[in-house]
Amino acid sequence: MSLWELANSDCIVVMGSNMAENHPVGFRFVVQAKDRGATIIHVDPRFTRTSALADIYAPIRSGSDIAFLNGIIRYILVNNAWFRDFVLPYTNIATIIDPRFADTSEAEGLFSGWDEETKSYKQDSWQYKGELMPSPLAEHHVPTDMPFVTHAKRMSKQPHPEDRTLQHPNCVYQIMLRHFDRYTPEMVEAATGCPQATFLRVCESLVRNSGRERTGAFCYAVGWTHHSVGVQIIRAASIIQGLLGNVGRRGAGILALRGHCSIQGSTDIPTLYDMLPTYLPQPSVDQPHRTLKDFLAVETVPTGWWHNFPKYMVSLLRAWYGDAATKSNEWGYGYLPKLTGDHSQQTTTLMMADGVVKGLFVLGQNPVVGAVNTTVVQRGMAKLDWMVVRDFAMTETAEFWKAGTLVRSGEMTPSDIGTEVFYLPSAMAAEKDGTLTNTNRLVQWHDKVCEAPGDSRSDLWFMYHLGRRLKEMAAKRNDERDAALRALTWDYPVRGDEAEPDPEAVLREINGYTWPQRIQIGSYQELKDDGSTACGGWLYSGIFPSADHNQSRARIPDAPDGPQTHLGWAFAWPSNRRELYNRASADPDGKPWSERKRLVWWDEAEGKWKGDDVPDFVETKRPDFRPDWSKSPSGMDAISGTEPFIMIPDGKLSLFVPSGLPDGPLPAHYEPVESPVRNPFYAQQDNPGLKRWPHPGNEYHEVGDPRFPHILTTFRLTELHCGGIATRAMPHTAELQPELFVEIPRELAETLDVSTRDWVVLSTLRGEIEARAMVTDRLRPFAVNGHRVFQIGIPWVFGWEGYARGDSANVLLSMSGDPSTSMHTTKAATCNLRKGRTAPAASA
Amino acid sequence: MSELVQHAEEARRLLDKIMAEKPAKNGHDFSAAVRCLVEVRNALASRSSDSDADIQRLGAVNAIISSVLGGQFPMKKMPWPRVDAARERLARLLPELAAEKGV
Repeated sequence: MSLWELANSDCIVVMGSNMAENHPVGFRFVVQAKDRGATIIHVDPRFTRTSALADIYAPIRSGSDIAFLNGIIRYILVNNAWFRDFVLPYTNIATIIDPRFADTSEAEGLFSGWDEETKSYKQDSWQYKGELMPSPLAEHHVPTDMPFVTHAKRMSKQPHPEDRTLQHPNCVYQIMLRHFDRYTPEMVEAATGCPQATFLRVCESLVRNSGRERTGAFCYAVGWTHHSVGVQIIRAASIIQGLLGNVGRRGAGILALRGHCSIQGSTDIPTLYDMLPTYLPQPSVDQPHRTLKDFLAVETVPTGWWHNFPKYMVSLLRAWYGDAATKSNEWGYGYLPKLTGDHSQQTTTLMMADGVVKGLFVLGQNPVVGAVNTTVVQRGMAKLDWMVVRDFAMTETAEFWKAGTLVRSGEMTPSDIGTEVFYLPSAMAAEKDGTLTNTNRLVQWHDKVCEAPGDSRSDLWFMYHLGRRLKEMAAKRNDERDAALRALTWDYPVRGDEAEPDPEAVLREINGYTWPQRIQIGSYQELKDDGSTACGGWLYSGIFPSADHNQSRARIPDAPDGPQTHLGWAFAWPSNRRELYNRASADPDGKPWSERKRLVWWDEAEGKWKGDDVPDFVETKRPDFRPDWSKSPSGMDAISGTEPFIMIPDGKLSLFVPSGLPDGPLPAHYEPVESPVRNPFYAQQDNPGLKRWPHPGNEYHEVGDPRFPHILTTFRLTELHCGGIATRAMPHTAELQPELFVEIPRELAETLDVSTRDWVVLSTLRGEIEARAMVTDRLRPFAVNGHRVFQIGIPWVFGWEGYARGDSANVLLSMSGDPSTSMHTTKAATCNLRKGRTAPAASA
Repeated sequence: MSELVQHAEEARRLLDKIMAEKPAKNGHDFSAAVRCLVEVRNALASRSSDSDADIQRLGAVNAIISSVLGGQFPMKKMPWPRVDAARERLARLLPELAAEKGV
């Protein structure tokens, strides 16, 4: 949802985020909503400025988010508070699931299909009865024994099995009743530490502010994602919003608070290892992906919008390989590397430590501060032959060999480290042209306003000229392994004395054009799978619809009395649409649920969808359209006029997810990787799909290890941006947060005889750091499952460079991964705390 | 026996152990096996020879490393057949390495 849509919400839950301090610009829309009478709720372990501005503050223990959210789902179900007119037609609540499905309540925390040998689920029993439901996401291979192509095609054969009376024992509604039954208010309090009365106020507020006339929204940040169950936390919120009808509507949705450093953009045009631009799957050796024909056969979803996948894939290959992409070589598909395993940041770090990786480029990152277990990170860097660091100020990463943890602890000396480090100065945002994609998919152009000093260059300059030189080397060598480099189109025009590439030329390619004429296309609906179009990222099509029209430059806001969707301001993918799935803002007949929440509707006179936003539906598809199953419809022909969720193969919001999630079709509470308590809900302690990477230096704490009794969470600071160096290097921001501190609950401080500004040492099996104590009431002890536990909070943004210095808190954390994303855990670990200082050699 | 062969032998021993002990996954054994294979790879890569045999052996060791890493760091489910295939490929390569002069 758009940030500004928050102003139209009637209830906003901020959870997993300290939005007021870390997203202060966007938080103004929360304040506007409050001024209009909305209820603001903050759920967080720490009482922060966000809490201070909220109507309800609900404290919870770090890592217990799913227990809290599942409790809300149960409240909605048992009180029959769900938005029936929305939920029955628009979600899969009535769909019947395979009779072999068994819930966590029957198997001590595991769903049916668990395979101990492969440590993963087989998802046959999660499927719709008699069908195989493909996942719409990249990397969406469905691990079943059923042949994918044969069974997935059944999606085109018949209506999906459902019982709208909701009486069938294996319809999603009945499964949900059983699954969420144990998440009672009493158990929510036992697991989270949040008082029942506060929890119930949250439930009542959400329900009271949902329905035809009212809508609510959730806002989250890395306080949700940086967990071993991060994806399932967001899933739980999506179930709540689905049940309350808070999707695709004004003031409704789930807002991921990202956007710092174009994080959204780096997912769209990805720096991620496991997907191609704009969410296309990366081929894998573990799947039948040897040829493009095979790849398309198993990756093309038979029904829904993703059925267009071959057009996007072939157009991407054409954009990358140009004339070297031919029908006979499958458009250059063979040039693409295939996944052989998890190549995410953490595993690559461990591969560095084992000597596998020889060289590393670090751009826009400071992993010695920002990555977890930074001692192991530095051990990996010390094994490299070379490392290139590009930043506008000296970073801890570039200086690890001289002043890092290894050197200060005496483990290594600079002369022991053979890594050749190249530090290259880079231009800042205002010193270069380009785009930034913010959290609501809004791509905004920014112009260069001044020259970068000295030899500083843009990242685009660096990547372009690096690629150009590599291509020149490949042309001379003529090795077969360099064929992809030779085939790559790399013909961006350059300008000026520095030969700066033209970023608009890159954006034109991302938008797409005809081939070989290179005439800009207007939208992704024009893409083809016959090699006649090239497109670097299908979702961005429309951002540069003609040679001279860069829509990301547009700056025309709506007038105060206008629709407030601001379609004239920049470009939001896809199709300059602001709210995804906005067909759901109208009822099944195409009428707005209410005038107050009107957004998109069916205009019978004109025979098309229209509204204040770009409709997210086939423009002329009538609400009463029904698929003709006798013709085995595919793509959008298999989606009825009352199914708004067109990226899902059945067009329905997935309350129950039959495919694609490796850790279960419904969210279940599992304890974090490290926890002081047993799981109060199941015998299964932690996420069964959790990626653990035992490695020298990456040891984990056992459950309830008395040496590490406290819960540790990390956070950021308003004054020190992201990894900190940008602001720690500036005296006027550094002086606002001059040194590292740790927030300690008053009761714990009294026990340890610690006062504010005393030195304290935090330790784990990974290392120890020292910090100044800040004794506070913002953190309070939690009573969890009969245990009294203390929570400690520490900012992670410090290092030894710049003016504001301190130990890096991420020294304390272990490497592990969420099973869907390989995301690390920074928000819920265990640690020890004592008064005193570290040994002199071991601290900054 | 040369260091290169010793490292290759140790990697095979560790892969035998890993496969014998499955489904329990021991990250330390995987890590140790990978370190041995990296030594083999580095030794082969540092040779001045551009012979087809050397290039093929280097390619084979690189492929084995990729497969073992796939077991150490799987995408989703443990790819035991691929780890086993890597073990068998290494076993076939060992006599070749041991027989070669100067290794």
